Amino acid sequence: MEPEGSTDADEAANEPAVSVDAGFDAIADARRRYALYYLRERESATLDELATVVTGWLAARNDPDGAGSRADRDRTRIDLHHVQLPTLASAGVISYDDQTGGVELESLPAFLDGVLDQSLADERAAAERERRESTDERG
Amino acid sequence: MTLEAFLDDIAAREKTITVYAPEPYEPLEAQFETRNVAIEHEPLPDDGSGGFVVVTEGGEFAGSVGINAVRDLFEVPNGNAIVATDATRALMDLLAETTFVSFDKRRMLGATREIEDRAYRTGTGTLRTGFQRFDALAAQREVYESLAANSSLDVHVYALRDWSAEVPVAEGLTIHTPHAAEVGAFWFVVFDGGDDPEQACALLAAERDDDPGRFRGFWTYDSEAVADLDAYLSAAYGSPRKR
Repeated sequence: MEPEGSTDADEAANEPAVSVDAGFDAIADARRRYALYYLRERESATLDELATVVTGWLAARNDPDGAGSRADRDRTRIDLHHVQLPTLASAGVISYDDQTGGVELESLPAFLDGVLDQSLADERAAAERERRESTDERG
Repeated sequence: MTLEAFLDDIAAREKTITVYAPEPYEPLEAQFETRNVAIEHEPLPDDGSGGFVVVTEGGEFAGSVGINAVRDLFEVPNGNAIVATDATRALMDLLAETTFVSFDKRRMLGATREIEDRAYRTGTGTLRTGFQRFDALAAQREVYESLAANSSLDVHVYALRDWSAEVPVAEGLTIHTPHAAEVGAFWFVVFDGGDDPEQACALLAAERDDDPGRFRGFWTYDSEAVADLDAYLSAAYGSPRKR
């Protein structure tokens, strides 16, 4: 902890709550990115809800027919609780109450919002490309 | 117990199907009985995957499957047979014991094929089947000849009309033609699982009076429920009618 002083406080006001490094690190992992996509729609969620969404969504993203089992969801839930949500929380992107499982989205800096919009657009384009390729193969 | 009572009992259990997708998926709502299953929609941003469906049983996550597999099961173009893939199997597993209210003949045949397929792969045990209508039975004729001929399965076919004249009698194939109204009213396929109770499965459905060509029913992989149905059919219509 740095000592508090008027100079530090001024600097803190100029610095965004989420540093660019921490912001990019936060979305480097697909599980964290998909949790954020979901949270951006709703502002808050629970650990259980996120475990369900991240399991089902990533299974469907990797394979359009993809199935997620109870065991998959249990693994995702443990991973979110111990690794992914604490990482997002320490980046300042969410707040996570590990007692109640409550997750709230903090206000995202503009650069992070923009990157998430762009990455969603890229995911859509990649999925579209894959569909075209598999249609070509069949045809 | 009657076949109707089996169907009513299953209809009383509750599940929730949540569609996580950019848009609600309406075909599901038309297919299932709303007092047996709640269908919900949670909007997602579009990432190109189309989304997924989650089945919850008694508040617990039972499983998820990509919406593409759901489309394959519910939106097969007319005339195309439903092919049982790993994904449709996973989905059928999730939706077991969920009462459907509006399956057409093609979907019924798709679900029927899944059970026959399991029986064939298992190779032992008893398969009991009754098609409420003769034309549906005729469509399955070859399947039953071949199932009985190429496996150690004990195959029982129940029909109001005697079709033994039209099917060469094969070893392992028994035809029952009981005079029972419910045999004419229900479409059922019951496989006891043979050596492997995990393979036990059954489909039971009745054509709707108010909407001919549409079926209300359920399928199950619950070995106890399957054993009950199997025992019932065996006791009620056990001995083949003399020709």
